[in-house]
Amino acid sequence: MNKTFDFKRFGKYFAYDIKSIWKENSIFLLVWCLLPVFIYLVYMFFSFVGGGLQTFISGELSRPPIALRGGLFATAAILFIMVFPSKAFGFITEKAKGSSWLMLPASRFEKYLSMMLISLVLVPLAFFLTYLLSDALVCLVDGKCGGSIFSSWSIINNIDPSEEDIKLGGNGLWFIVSWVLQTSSIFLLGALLFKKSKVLKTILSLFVISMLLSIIMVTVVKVFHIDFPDMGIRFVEWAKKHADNMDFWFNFWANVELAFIVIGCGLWSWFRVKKIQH
Amino acid sequence: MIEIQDLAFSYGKTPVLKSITTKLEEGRIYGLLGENGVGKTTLLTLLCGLKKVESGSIRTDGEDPFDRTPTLLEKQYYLPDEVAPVNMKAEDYAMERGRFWPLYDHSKFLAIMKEFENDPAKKMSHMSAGQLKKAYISFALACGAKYLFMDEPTNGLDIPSKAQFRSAIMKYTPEDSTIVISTHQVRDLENIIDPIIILDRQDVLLNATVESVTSKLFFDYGTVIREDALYREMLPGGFLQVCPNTTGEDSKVNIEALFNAAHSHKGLIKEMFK
Repeated sequence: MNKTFDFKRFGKYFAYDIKSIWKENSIFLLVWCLLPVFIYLVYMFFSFVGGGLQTFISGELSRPPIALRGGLFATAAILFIMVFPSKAFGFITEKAKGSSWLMLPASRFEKYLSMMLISLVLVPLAFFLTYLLSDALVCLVDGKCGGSIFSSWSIINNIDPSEEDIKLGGNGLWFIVSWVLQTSSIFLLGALLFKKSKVLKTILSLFVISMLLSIIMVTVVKVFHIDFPDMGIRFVEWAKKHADNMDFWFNFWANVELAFIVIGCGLWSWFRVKKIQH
Repeated sequence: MIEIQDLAFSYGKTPVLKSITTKLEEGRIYGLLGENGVGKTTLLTLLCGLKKVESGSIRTDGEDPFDRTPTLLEKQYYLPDEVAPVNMKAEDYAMERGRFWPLYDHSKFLAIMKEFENDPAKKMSHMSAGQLKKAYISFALACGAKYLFMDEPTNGLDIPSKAQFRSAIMKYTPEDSTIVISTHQVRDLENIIDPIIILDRQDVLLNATVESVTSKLFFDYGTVIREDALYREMLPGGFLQVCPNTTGEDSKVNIEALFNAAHSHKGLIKEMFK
């Protein structure tokens, strides 16, 4: 049997990993995925308290508007993607649970691959789907909900952008996917590096890193007397020149950034898993 | 077989283990003894691959345990001092994890749980510390691992459970397995551990079988004070004394007394069991 990767053993471990995460975090996952239902119920409750029985009977209760639901969806997605890796894999840095995980007979690569697939692909995808489905369910029950978030998908995916719509540059769907991949890899690395307050410390680290990069850039520019004459004009000229394929360039740079972050964090996470000691 | 060669490990600038060379043979239950902080847990975690040796080497059946290869992990089980409560029924936990050890026997797990009077259908997160420890011990023994490392396994166990633990160890471990038990509760395991390893500051003070110990030391449970005693302790109605065995007479080892004798005459004991 291969010591690094064996399909049968990986399948067994992957199924075990998913089951364990579900058993340990089922309430957390359910609360996040059913958030649209809770938000709707809470909103309707206060709407009823404010409007009284008459508005309820006449069906004139105000519903959570699509803009609010969309905003909450974005907020929930951001928070979920940031918190989930720590909830699911933060135990690896704990002595008792971490030792037990390391001593489970599967290869380091199989454990790592399973962790990456769950954190970066499987759970975010499941979250988006169940969140949108539970939002659609609310709209199915209450026809006056004002349309599901999913029905507004064309806005972010630029399927049929009209003048009034919010328009994201490049490929809207890929923009979201790439954001999920980047954020998940960063916060998974944070979950593996920090022993306590993993999410907070990751955010603080990002803040410190961006500050340091800014300082380094400014220092380099000052020390080496680097001058960018007419930089604004040059940029506008470049933008005019590439106006026809701006989306391509937008996607290109977004993908370069995505690859840099995912590969960087992925490699760091791998070495952390490989070298972690208890 | 586990071969340890010139092993060294330190936490930062504080050395914990230094130049340890010893072999752990198959079919033995090693008792790992030592004062607080001498590195018993560190040695156990190095043996099972949770820590990386700084210098020297450990080879378990020819493999470095820190490589954590599935083939080696399948052959070993590490039971830490602190065990984590899991939000699962003990039997489900055992069934789920047991699939990773080729020799895992679920009926054995249930039988050991029964001997411990522990309910396998109870959620581990709802168990008391002692019950949780017993569930983990049951699982560890049911894995049928060739190498079993246990850190203070009797901590938190009540008096009947300690006897049940001894019985389970003797009954449910394969003949050729190597078991290393680190403990302070030497009386709990006195009749099952053989050989005895005593760790001193950074070093192995003694690694000897009970037979070798009794051939070199005599444990005198008499009433007459002996001048050559390496260690003496008052007992009701007499003394327990540890003396060099000059007559070849057999005696029953008292591990606590042996430990104290070894600590008060480190050089002599080390030389004696070299």
